[in-house]
Amino acid sequence: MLKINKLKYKIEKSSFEFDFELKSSQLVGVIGKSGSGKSTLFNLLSGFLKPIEGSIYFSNKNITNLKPFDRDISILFQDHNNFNHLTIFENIILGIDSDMKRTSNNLKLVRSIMKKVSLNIDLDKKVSNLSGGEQQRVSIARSLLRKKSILLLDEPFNSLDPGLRKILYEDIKTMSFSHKLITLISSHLIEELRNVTDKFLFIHQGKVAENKILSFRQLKSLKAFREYSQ
Amino acid sequence: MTNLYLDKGAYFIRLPYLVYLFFIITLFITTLYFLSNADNFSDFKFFSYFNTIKFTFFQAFLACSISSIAGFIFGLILYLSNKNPKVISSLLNFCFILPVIFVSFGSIFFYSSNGILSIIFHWLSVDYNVNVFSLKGIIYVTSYFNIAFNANFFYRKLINIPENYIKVLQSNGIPFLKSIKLQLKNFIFSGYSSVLILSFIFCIGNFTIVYILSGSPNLTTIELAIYQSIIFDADLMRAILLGMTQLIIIMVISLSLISKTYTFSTFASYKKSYQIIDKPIFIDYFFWIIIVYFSIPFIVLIKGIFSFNLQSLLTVNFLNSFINSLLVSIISLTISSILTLSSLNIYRSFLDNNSSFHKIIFISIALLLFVPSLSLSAMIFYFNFQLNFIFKSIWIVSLINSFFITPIMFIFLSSKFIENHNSEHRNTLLFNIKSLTRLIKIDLPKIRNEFLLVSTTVFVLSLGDLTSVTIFNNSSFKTIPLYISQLYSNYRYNDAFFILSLFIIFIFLIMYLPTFLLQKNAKN
Amino acid sequence: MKGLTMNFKIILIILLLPFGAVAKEELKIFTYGSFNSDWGPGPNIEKEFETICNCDLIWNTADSSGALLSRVKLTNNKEGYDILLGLDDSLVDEAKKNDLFLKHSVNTNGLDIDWSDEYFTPFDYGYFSFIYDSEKLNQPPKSFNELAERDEISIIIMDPRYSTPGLGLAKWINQIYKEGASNFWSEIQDQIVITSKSWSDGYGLFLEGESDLVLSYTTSPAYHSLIEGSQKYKSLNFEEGHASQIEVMGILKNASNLDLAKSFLEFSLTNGFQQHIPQGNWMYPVLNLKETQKDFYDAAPLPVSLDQVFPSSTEKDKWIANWENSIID
Repeated sequence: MLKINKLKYKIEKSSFEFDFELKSSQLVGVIGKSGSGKSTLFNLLSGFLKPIEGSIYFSNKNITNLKPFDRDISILFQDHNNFNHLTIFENIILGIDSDMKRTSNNLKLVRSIMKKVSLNIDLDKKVSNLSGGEQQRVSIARSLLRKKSILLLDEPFNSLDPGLRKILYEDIKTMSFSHKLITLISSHLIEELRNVTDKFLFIHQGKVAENKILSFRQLKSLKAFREYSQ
Repeated sequence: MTNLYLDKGAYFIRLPYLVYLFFIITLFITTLYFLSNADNFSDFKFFSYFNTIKFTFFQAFLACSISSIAGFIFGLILYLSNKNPKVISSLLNFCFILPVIFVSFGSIFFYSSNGILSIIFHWLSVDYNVNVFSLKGIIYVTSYFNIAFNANFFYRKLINIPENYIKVLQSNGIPFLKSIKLQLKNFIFSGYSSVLILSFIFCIGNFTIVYILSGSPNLTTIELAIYQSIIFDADLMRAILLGMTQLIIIMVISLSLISKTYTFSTFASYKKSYQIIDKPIFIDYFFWIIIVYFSIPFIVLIKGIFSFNLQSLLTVNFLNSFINSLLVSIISLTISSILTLSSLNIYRSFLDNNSSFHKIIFISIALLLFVPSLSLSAMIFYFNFQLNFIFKSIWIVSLINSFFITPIMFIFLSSKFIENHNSEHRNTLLFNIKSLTRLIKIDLPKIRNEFLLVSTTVFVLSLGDLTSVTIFNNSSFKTIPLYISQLYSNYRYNDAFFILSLFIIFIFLIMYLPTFLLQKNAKN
Repeated sequence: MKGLTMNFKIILIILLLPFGAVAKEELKIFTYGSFNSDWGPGPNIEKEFETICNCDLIWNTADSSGALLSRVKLTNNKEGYDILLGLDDSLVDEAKKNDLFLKHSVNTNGLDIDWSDEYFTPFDYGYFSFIYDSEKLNQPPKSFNELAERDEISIIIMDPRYSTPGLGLAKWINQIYKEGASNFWSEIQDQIVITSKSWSDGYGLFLEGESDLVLSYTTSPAYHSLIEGSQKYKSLNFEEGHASQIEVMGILKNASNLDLAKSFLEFSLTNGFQQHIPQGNWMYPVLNLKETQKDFYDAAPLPVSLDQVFPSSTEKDKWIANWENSIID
């Protein structure tokens, strides 16, 4: 269980305060205007920003002051997730072995994880030669390899075309359930998210609306949401 | 797409570059003619300069290596210190363009036998025995500028690493040093070859530093030997041959690297930087060590301000030098601006037409970086002699200065100038926009900010220059740096330091007033 | 834009200003910088001469005396100077060789030094010596031999190739050691901490405490005593004797104003010129002014003198070669 307890953060004129709980193993869409605080929330969760006060608990363990690496969290961004000058193998194995050694065990691991994300390419190819969708699959493969319980996807597929996005969303959904992950996906395209989940965190003016997960029906009853979706 | 039609304005814009080309070619032909007619050609004993040549490249190599390594470490620490990138970057810029005499005298003031450091050590009863007038001193001062230059490059590179990369690395638990190593090839060192070449050229061309700090005849660089050939031995031929030797060696060293680069990415602007949380405390200590390191020459300002002497400002010599300095810088800036815009125009029109001749334009301008300004002085001296001294010293010095600053302007402005050139070119054809109109209405507004920035920079560089003026000065023509160095060498230390301090304050104002006004304007 | 055109007007006016000066007869003298500095004898001499000549005396300067001859050689005096002031006796032969000067008809008999040369007239002289700070150096060496033996004593000299005192030291050492000069150079090489390009550079560094001794003139302590009131700087008195330097001037070929140049040469041997030498150029005047300049002579007593030598340029090159050999090793 992930418990966010009055987590406060301030930058320039905007202030944020998050307070909500997530039960294990679910796929949640995070929506809101740009600048509302979606990325701030993700950065606070993954440890790239330090909150002014408040705490984050995961499985009853206080992780508020842990370094990004020590948290049971993986994060994926819209771009720059991979190193273009490295190969697929190196980019994936980086997650668990920073020396990127080509041991038979490492190779086996990478091959099996590539199968899971439907990547059927030579693993010695440079990432710069891959298509956008393939590149994101490489990042996802790395996240899965690390066996973290929480997966944060910060507008992950925005630069891809709609058809591909749909497939990737489906893949994420399958993986999320088969690995029993807490997956948060932020996006401003609600319709696409609705295809994979009916659980939403709506972020408005630096806060999670109602401080809890809402269904789409519940969302529609919010005035702020109606203004946002128009 | 070929540009079949050139309007009158286009010829007008191209003229300055052609004049420049004509001048350079004439100069080289005159020089070759001079060399081929020299009767005492065999007198030039190349071997007797072997030590000088060896020393030149040895000290340049040493200073360049130290600067690269220290520059990288400094850049890294400045990056990790999480300070405002604008402030850091302009600090490093300012240190880089400080007049050489300022840093040299500042270092003497701090490190010499009666300097601040010696006083401190004496007070602590520690034996202090460092001779600044030595290779150490030369390397120290040469590195000061090049460390600033290198650090600025690495710093800009580091803050330009995409934020997400760092986050991915952090969340994957890659150790810090390893993550830097991962970034090296892709980000930090890309485009470094051009910086290395520039840095190497700066280290070889450290005439002023060697001129001031060479305490022994063994510490002679090629440029100093050129100076001595002209000033003391009346031997222009030797000066020119030495200059050519240096030119050829630098060309050979850098051509292999530079042949791949036709633009320099050194001056890329920075984006939003990633705030590093959990920075180790020792970073702050190192940060302040760096600040102290760069501040050392500024200690001389205290002495300068305490030596306040209004009378030294009212002498004819001072006023004369001051006016001449300004005139030289204004003239050089004007020549350089015209020449830069003209050559950029030709450069771009070749690009517009998909012709690879643009490389030739680039090389013909960048070539100026390689020519030692003192050997250029020797060539122009002979040229002027043939013309019965029709050029006054002020014009010659301005011309040589402008030759030195033109490549800097060209390199700095080129990427912005050719930005979107394809679509712009299409539009000029579609709407029949004349060349002059394009220059005034489209190009100039586009490069306005960069132009202002580089103009102040090269203006300051020209203001602080002390190379060709050592040869072409006379009683009625001096510049401030020369005047200060003459005061200094006549043991008028107080006046020298006082004027030096005012000079630095003046330079500071020139450097930051325009930017400040620009920002204020932008806010309004 | 308006501001810009205004600036250009100012520049134009400043650039054209020199051409507007009213024409008077001009005498152009080429000399080294410190001679005509604000603290040198030049400005006073100019004033004195202009009152009697009804002309305009224009100084042109090179950085150091070493650069003077080179400059006129390089330009064949196309720059049109009338007089070159500030060569020393070691350079006289080389200057004549290049055929750059005109003969003079000035009577140089009855001066304080023996002089007869058809091209140059002397205007001051001095003796080379080393200066030390008597508060720091307790037992000053009394001879070159002792100086070479005492390795702890650091010295600043000037480069003989570019500076006349530097060349003077080479001459001095050669006069004393003859064939052994090269050896002697090698012996003191480690004691030489700085070889400066000009006398003033080196002297300044000595005053800043960079060394125990500096190559200079026996007259230097007079400056500290008469101007600064400090008695601590003294000159070494070597039992072997001190080599001398005579500074000279001559009329250049292509001189545009021959009559004026001649009258300046004559003027240079009168009191009007000579009185400004002791406490302006800090050298001994060639006229005997021991009565009127008693303070100066007291502060800078004449040392034991070696014979006057007028080297040929090959001899001069040999002195320099002796020094060069010692630094390459």
